Amino acid sequence: MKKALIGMTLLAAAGCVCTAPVEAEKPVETATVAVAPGKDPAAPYDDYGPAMASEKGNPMAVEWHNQNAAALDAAVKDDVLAAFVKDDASAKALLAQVKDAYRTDAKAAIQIAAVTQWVMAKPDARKDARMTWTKALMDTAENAKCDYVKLFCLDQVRWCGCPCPKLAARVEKLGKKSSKPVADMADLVVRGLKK
Amino acid sequence: MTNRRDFLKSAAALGAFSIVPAGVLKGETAPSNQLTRAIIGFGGIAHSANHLPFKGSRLIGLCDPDELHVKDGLACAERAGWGKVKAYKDFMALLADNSVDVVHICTPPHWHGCMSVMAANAGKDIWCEKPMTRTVGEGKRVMEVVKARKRMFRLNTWFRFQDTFYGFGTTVKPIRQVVENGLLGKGPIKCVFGAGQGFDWKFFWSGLVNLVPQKCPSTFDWDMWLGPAPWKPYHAHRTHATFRGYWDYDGGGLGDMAQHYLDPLQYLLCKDETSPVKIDYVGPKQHPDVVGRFDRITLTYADGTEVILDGDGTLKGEPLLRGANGTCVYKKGEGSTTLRIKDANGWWPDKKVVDQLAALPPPAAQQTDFMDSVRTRKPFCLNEQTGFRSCTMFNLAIVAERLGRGFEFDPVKLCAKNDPAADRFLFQALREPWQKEMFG
Repeated sequence: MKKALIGMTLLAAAGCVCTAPVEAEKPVETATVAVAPGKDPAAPYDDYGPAMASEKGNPMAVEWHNQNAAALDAAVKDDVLAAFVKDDASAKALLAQVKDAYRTDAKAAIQIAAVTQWVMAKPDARKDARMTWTKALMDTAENAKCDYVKLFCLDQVRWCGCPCPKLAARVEKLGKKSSKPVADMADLVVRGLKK
Repeated sequence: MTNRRDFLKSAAALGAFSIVPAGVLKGETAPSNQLTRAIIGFGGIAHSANHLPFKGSRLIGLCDPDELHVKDGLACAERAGWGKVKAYKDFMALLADNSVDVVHICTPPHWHGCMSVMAANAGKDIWCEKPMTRTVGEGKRVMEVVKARKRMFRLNTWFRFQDTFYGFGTTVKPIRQVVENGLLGKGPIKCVFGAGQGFDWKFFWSGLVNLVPQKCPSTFDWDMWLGPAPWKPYHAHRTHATFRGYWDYDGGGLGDMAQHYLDPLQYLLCKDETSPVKIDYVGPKQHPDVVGRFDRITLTYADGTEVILDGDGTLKGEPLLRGANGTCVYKKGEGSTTLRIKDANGWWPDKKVVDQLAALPPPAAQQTDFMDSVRTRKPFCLNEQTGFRSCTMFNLAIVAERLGRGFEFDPVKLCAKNDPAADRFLFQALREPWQKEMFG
């Protein structure tokens, strides 16, 4: 499955996308693409080879889901998620697993996203939990040394932050003293909170 | 704004002229009388039949934030017989060029909405790749501006009007006839999209967890490629041919195939003017950045009609359509010359299916020539309105994935019902300056 998936990725990287109608039951990508003469559909763009080769050990999310289905199901049960937001320390312990630039463990990242959605599923009924989670996200973002952690946390605030002036002001303040990428994300979050 | 197309229409009224005599071109339309187009985004899809080699209009330019794509595009354009086309520095210069009549938007989906609005505001007609937009909020805005600016818009999928529908061995026309004429009985219809071809074969459009950022090539403008999407560290897998695996830009296999599958479904179910009211989700919780898989997504309309998206492959044997009186439509099977129908009494013989379909009135004719739409201003059949509705099916499905649960939707107000979490995904702000360009 992995070889097939990586093979498909390389094929896709060569620019072969299925747009023409496919009558066959099996996916036949390259056979149905109308390509300008002289263009070799199998030739990858020069810059992808080393990039893809470096990712051979890196699973796709689909593979990760398949390999870790049971563990993931257990990790995102309501009672497990609720425990992360019972107090500030529990929330921050989870967020402490956010690492620089895409290195966050997949299970932790999925749990964080799941907590964000758990507090928002019943935003009024889980108001305390939502406040605890949003505060922890903002504290983690403000104290982070690297931009990516700030971006990650602000991205979660985008989905669950309360539309209140105090939170918007706090996000704006963080944006103003940060790099452009973080400032841009802060701006996105503030506009989302002001709806 | 007077553009070349308006000038040509006026010139045609006064008496046509051409720089190169038509006879020299062996009867083809002289270049100066042809509609012109430019391609924004010269990655993989730009090479496909409806873009680079399309002969219905003259290709005069292209742009891409990757210099390697621009170089490749210029060479391919010349080999395809377009001569030396113009390479624009960026798409805003392309939109400002009055010699361009139509823009082909071949960028990743996170750019589709903003570019469509900017193109409409620049007086261009638009041929946009699918999915039409990344969110419902963007789709609404595209509809508003295209209508206000009186632009022609078409989406780059076509199964509602041509070619055999995936895995069914037939066009959608006879299936629409079955639905429209009540052969399945009164009441809601259950539609399973796994019967012909589900989505599990497209799950290779998944992102990689735990990327290690790379140095961005000097030939690639990463910030421009990102455009309205949040800035995140560069990695080749997040771009170009594999962007689909990341929520910031698309929605995985669903993003790739949803409008190809769902637009003809919407058409044959006669649902072009509405949207589902309930979305149900079965599947794993999603990574916040990387698109994974889903098991099943069900979209239910107000009248009870269901469209079920098969992600785990368990519905392959199901009929495409099941109606209230027990009649089912199946794909064409071995030894059959037509789509198959079954009711309480068993399978209809092929001759009965053929005869019944022949006796039914055909569906209303569709406008299927976009260049003719551009010339006559008659809206294309898959325009910003019908395209918005089928794209909304996709947008609703990916919101359910990201929420990890179902929700309800108001197809008139075009927002979630009492669900602020869903609305956060349905309406997303863009990075500036693209927020202002798109929404004002």
